[in-house]
Amino acid sequence: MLKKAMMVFFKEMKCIVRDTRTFVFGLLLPLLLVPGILFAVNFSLSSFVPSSPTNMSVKMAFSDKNNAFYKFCSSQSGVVVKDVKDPKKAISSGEIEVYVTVDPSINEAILNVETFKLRDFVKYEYDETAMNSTTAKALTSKYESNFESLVSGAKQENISNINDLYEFLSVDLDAGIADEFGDDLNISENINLICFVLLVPTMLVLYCGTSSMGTASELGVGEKERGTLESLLSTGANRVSIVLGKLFATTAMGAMGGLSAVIGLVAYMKLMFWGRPSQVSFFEGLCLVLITLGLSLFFAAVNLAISIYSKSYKEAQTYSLPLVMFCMAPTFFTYGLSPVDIDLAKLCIPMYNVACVLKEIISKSVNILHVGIVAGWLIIYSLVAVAVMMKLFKKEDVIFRI
Amino acid sequence: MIKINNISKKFGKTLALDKVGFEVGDGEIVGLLGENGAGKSTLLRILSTIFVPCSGNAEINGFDLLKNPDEVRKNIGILFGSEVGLYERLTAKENLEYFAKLNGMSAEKSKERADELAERFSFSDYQNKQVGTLSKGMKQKVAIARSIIHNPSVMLFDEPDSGLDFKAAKTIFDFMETCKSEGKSIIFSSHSMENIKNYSDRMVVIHKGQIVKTFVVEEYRQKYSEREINDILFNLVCGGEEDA
Repeated sequence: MLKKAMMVFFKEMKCIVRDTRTFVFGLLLPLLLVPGILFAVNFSLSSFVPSSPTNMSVKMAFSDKNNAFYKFCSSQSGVVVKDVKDPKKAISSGEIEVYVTVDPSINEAILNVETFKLRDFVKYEYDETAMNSTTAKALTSKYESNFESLVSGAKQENISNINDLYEFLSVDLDAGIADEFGDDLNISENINLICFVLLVPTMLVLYCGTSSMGTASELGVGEKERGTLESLLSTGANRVSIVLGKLFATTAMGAMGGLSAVIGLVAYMKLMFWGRPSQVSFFEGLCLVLITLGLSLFFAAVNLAISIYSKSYKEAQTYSLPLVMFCMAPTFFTYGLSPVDIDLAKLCIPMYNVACVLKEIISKSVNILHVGIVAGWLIIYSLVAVAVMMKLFKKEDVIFRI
Repeated sequence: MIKINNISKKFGKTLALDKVGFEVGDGEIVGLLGENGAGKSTLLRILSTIFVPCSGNAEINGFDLLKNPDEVRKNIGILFGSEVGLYERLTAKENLEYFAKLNGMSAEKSKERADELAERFSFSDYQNKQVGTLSKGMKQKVAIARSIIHNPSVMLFDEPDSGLDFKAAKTIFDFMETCKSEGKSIIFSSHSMENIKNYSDRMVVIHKGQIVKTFVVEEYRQKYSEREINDILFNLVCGGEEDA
């Protein structure tokens, strides 16, 4: 039986390799597209996120310059204070990112009130629809807390004169942060890594699913459309051998597509994190390959079952594509999940479990138990899919849809 | 030798074949005549083990269709008219060798047999070309070779004249005659009265899954004129009575 299955497999692979367009696109596209998307996302984010804290700057304008908060902010190397006449126009044109209206009683409150809270005295205006403006607004919270800390210090020093207070608040804390962390706190690299951890599981699931889609359609419903199915079924090979050979070929193509995506990802990591600890080790690479193979087998069986059931190539594509998209959905639930928070009980959920393990692999916190559990579930799901596919291939009312 | 015993087949609530039974001797051609949907292709699919009958059975060279489907498949060759049943990205020779191996022949024997058939059907010159690049006539020759690659003693032709021009159809019918002279048992289905009359020894007329008439073509030829035979067949195919 296996001998004939291998005959079918080699014949199918020969046909696939000779179809240069499908073969090249099946391998080349995942190889280039995944790193391409990650580059694009990284490029897009880098346009409004600085590479390091030393490069952070917030363009601000104040309603009044005679107050302690203005004095503090204007001393910070990360704040660029501008003078504007029309705050709204300045924000919408991008001249400033945040406009701060300060209550005139702020100085008196700092000097006389025991518990001072900055938020009672300032109001911010910014463009909620612009990414740079909302990011700048988020960064102001750092200046608020730094300012409040300095004010507490001033109270402990019993500063009661406004000029002494101004002098006390004129300390560049941004420069201190840059000195402390230096290049180790590289924000763009961190964002790059975050994108990587978020996108890779989803993209791998997508590629393992879509890479086998075309092949499955070709080998299943393609036989019906070309009129070769009846010739094949009337040969000495039984149906199990035929369908196994087709499954091997579909899995091989799915795996090649998935592995191309993995190679693309590893190449991307090598380029983006050169010399950094975020490189993929041999063991992590092996885990990635194993998970990819398991996923490919599962999708190959599902896509082949759909293809066997379908009456036409178009019908097969109509079912397969939404199904692969649907399979991506559980991976989105892992976006906010930290590798340390992975729940063992949830590792039985298909695709969610794969995304969890891929997340662990990429963030360099591989848990052998988790990998084992997910591999086990993948095998179970794949076997179920294979059993369904075989059952369908044996049913004449399905393969000929009478 | 083919023995068909009361085969019935249902698809859902539709009765596609109703207790169909007849025999085909060695070196005999039996033509199945019927309109579209009469059950001709269903019967041939059952005989080639693609479909399983709901009731009844058949024997191919003594092998039981239900008990020994693998042996049955080794003994039959099937050829379709409109669909050549070949893989376009494989060469003619690779197609033949693939089907030979699937039918249990060794790699060496498969090669020998493929070369032999390429010689016999005069396509040695293009046997190493991908089938997709061949003309329809050439493909038809390769398809014929494919159907007998394992030297079956029973041949099934499912509407071999469908969608073919005169020349290509002639190639098929000549091949059918050759098979007959080699002593093979042959069933061919068609909805062309002319072809059935010209090439079969016996004719089985099917209407809505039931055999409405079985007769020896030569006997009818002696009894009726060609026009009268056509009228009789037309009436039978449409479910009417045998009135000349």
